[in-house]
Amino acid sequence: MRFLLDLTETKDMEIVALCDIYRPHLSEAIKMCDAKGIKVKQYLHYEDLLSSEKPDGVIIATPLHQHAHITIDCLKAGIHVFCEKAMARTLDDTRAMYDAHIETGRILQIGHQRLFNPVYLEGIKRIHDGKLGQLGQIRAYWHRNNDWRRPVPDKTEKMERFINWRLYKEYSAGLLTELMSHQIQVANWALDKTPVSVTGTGSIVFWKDGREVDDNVALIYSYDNGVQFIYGSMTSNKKYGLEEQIMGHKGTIEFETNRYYTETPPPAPGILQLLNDIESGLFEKVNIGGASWVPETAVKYNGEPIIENTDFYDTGLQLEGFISHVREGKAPEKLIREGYNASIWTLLGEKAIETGEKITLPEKYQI
Amino acid sequence: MNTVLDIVIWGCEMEYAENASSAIINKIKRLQEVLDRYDSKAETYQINQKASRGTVPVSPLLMHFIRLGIDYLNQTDGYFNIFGGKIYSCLKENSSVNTLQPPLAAHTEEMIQINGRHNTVHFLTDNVSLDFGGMGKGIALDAAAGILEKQGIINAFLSFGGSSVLTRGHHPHGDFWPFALKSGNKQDEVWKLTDTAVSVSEAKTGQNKRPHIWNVKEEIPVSSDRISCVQAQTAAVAEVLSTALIAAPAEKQKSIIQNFKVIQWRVFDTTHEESS
Repeated sequence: MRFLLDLTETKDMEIVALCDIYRPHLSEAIKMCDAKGIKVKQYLHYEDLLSSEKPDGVIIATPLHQHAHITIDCLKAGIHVFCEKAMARTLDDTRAMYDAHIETGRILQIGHQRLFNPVYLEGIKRIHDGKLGQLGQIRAYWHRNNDWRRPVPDKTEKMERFINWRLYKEYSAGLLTELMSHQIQVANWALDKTPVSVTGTGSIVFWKDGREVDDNVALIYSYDNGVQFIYGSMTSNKKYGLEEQIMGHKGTIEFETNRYYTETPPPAPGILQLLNDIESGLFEKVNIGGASWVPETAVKYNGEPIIENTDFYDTGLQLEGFISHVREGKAPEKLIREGYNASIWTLLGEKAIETGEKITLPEKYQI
Repeated sequence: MNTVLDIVIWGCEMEYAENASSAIINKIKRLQEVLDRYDSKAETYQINQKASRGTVPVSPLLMHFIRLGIDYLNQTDGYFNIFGGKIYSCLKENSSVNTLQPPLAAHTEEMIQINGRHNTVHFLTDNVSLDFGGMGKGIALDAAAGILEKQGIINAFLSFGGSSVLTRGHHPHGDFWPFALKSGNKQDEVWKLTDTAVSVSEAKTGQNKRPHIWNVKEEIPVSSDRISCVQAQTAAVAEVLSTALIAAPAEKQKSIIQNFKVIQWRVFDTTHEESS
């Protein structure tokens, strides 16, 4: 919301209406608009909004299980849609959203903000240009140490499930749909492929507080070229935090920390000059002598940044992208395909955990 | 060796160069398994943990390097000393050794007891600790020279982080390898290297320019802005001397040098040359 309000100042874009079935959140959003001097209409039910307003685009940031029907109704009403990831709670709903996008020709952009992040754009370019060599494994994790709960205003079960929807299987696949979906999108993007199978396991290890979704998951996705995407997420230890590690035989990229590591650290500056001189037919002095003999601590190769300037917010950039797409009336089809495949394979990961089996993609979900 | 090794080889098939490089790296790894004082699996580390408490056996290879270190200690009048590991570590961490460590003994016999027949050592005081940091890179480069010769590599330039360099043959576009310092006021001076080694030491090191070399005689860290550069036939001698010449006072340097076969040497500070 904050990013969207900022964009009203720089982009030729207007917020016309807000809709939220939960009145406290709606009131909070209205206050934020008022603070910026923006007057908007407010709705509790999206059907009322659709019957009264004709926006060019809509941003859907509801709980996961509400994504599909709202998205499909908006697309059918001729409205371009930005929908938070993951796409839907079920495989069929995910497919239905994609089909509605194809049938209506309206934009359906899924909230994978890394697709708009300059660090990722540069890193993926290097990967696709072969700078990392043959990729062998992609590892990703997203670890936290908290109960992943939001405060509930009263003690009723209804409100608990309404507010903490991420913890209940009816509404969410937990760590998979809310966190991993981002990172499998990165893996698919890096490999320019989708998996062929997934196995996994999950459990409630620590937060035995009535939640239904696992607080501890581990999955292995396999691709047709033999590469694996190895994923882990837990909510009772945050030491390793969040990362996607793309590992090739020539180098490694760690996106979240903006680092690139070559497998062969660059030579000392003097050696580099010597090599250049040899190749150029020059015979120049090599200024290399220096340093000292004291037993140094191990020389740690800390890699290098993928890009230098990281003064941006990719959440804002993806909204900016959506606004531009709406204005053009079209978006690169790559965007929805990335979102769709990430969502489908996230849900297949859930199925792998539930069944304990190796899961492949049913033909009806192939696009 | 806790630094970067760069190997430049020319004048042979790539395959031969790669084979030689691999052999050198493997050899250095094996040396490190013996000489590393920081790796808990290395022999030197383990000896340092036990030898103050009693007699401990050492491998023939480590015994060889201990004896070599003692020779260098004697030849440098004590200004190069492999037994001051604890002092060097303290110096590295806080530069105030006197308050933390008792002084090293003046003579080898007061620091270590060696039984050559049984290949055992016993450190005679608590502050004795082996540290091959001042000769390890030289030892490794001399071993590399043997591998290059064995594999028929004629032209090579090997550099351990710029402080220890070994050359074989010459630059492809000249009659020698043109070595120069990277800092100070001697950057334009070219040292012509062919089949020799050169080592550079600075009195202060790291980003904070912290003293890291110990003057054994005066029991103080060397805090001048001194730089030494020594060219010799072997990399170990070059490395040992470049350190000793930093630690020793100017009037001692020539007498130390006379105990070694040295091609050329310099000791200077950032403003003027002291001796040569």
